[in-house]
Amino acid sequence: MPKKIIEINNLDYSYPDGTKALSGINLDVLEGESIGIIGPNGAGKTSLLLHLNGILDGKGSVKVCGLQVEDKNLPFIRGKVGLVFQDPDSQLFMPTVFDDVAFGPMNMDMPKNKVLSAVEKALGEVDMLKAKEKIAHHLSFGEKKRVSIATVLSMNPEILALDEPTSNLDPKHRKNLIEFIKKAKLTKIIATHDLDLVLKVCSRVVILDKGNLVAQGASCDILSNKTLLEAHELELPLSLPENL
Amino acid sequence: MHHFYIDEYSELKSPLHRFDPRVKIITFFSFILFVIFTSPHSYFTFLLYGCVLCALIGLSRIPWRFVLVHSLVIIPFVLMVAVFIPFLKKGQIAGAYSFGSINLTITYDGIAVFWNILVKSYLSIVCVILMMASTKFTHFLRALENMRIPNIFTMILSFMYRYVFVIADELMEMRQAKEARSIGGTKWFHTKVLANMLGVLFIRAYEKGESVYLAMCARGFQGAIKTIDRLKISGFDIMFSCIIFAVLISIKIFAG
Repeated sequence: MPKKIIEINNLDYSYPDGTKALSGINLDVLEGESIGIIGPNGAGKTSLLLHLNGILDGKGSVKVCGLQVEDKNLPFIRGKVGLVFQDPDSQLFMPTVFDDVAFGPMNMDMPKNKVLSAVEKALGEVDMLKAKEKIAHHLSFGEKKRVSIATVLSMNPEILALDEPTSNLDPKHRKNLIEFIKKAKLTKIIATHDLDLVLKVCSRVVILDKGNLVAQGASCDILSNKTLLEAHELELPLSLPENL
Repeated sequence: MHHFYIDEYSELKSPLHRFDPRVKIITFFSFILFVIFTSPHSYFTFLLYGCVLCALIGLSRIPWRFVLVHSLVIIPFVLMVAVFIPFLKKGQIAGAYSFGSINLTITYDGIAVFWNILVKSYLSIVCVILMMASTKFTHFLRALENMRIPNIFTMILSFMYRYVFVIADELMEMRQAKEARSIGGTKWFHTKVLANMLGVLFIRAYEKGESVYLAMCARGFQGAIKTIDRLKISGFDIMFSCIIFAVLISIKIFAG
C-alpha cells in the first residue's frame, strides 16, 4: 500500500474580503498517484493548490510528506511540492531561462555543480535545453509553459502541482505536454477545466464546487457521470470512449 | 510581440561583444572619466576620444545609424539644462541681442561652458550606448551583481527588463480593445478613457507583482535572489582593456 503523501483535513479558507474559497476539505493523496481537481470557475481549485506549499494558510490541517505545512517546515515542503502557476509570465520572472530554472535549486542551497546539472536535466526533460540562455519574453506560449514546469523539476520535487497546465495551448503543444505529464514519475495534482487531460492522465478525480469537495472517485466513473458533471457546470470529456 | 530591445545588437560577434561585461563596465566608466576630466578647450583631445569611439563602433559592427539615433536622445536634456548658460555666465561679451525691453548677452565663457557640457555628455552617451548595445542585458545584470552592486538595484532592473514588455503588451491589447469599440466620442471622452486604462494597467501590474511574488515564494524565495556566477575573465579581456587604457592614457599625456 503506497503511503499518503498529502493529507488534508477539514481545510477552510476565506479570502481577505470574507469570500469563502474552501470549506471543510478532506483529501488524501497517495504517493505516485495522479489526481485531477476539476470544477467550475471560482470553485477553489487554485486556492487548494496554493495550500500545498504554504502560500495560503487556511484553518485546518495540511500535511505534506508527513510534515505539517507551517512556517518552520516551509523550506523543506517547498522543495517537495513543485507548484506551477497558470500564467507562465508569473512563473518565469528571472532574466533568462537558465536563471529561472536555477532559482529553486539556488534557494535550496544546492552546490553550484549540482545546480548546473539539475538545470540541464530539468530543461532536457521538457526538451527546452536549446532555450537555456533565452529571455522568457522571447519564448512562445507553449515553450513558456514547458520552461515553467522545468523551473520546479530542477528542485527535484516529489509532488507536481499544476494549475491549468493546458490552458491557451495549441493542440500540438497540448499533446506534447500531456505526453510529458503522463511520463513524469511523480505524484501529480492537476487543477484544470480540461477534462480530456484528466481522463488521459489522472487515475482519480475530485470535484470542487463553491469551495466544497462534492465528489471524488476513479476518473472513468466520475467523468462518465453526465448528471454529476452537469450539476457542477461541467460536461462529459469529448474523448470519452462510447462504451464507458 | 515585437518590441525595441535595448540590447538588440548584443548577439553580434565582435571583440567588443566578447569582452567580459565587468571589465567592459570598468573600462567604459573609466573612458567617461577621461572625457569628463578633459579641459573644455582641448578640442583636439575631444576629437581623438571621438575617433577612439568611432573605431570601437566600427569594431563592434553595431550599425552607425543605431548609435547615432540613440545618441540624439541626450540632446534635449543637455539643451534643457545648458541652453541658458551662455546668456547667464558673466565674462567677455560675444554678442548682444535686444528683443524690445529684453536684452540678452552671450559671453565667451558661457559658450565655453555650454560646449563643455555638450561635447562631454555626447561622448559619454555614445560610450554608454556602445557598452549597453554590445552587452546582453542579462550579462550586464550579472556583472553588476558580481561587482557588489546592492541586490535591490539589480533585482529592480531585472524585473523591469522582464516585465516592461509584458506591461507594454497589456497596454497595447487594451488599446486595441478600446479602438475596436470606439465610434466617435469627444476628445475629452477619449482622454477620460485613457485615464481609466492607465488605472486598470496599474492594478494589473500590481496584481502581476503579487502573483510573481507568490511564484517566487513557492520556489523557496526567502528575501534575496541568489544567482550563479558564470562569468569568466580571460586573457583577451585583460589585453583588450589594457589596449583601451593605453590609448586613453596616451591621448591624455600627448594631447592634454
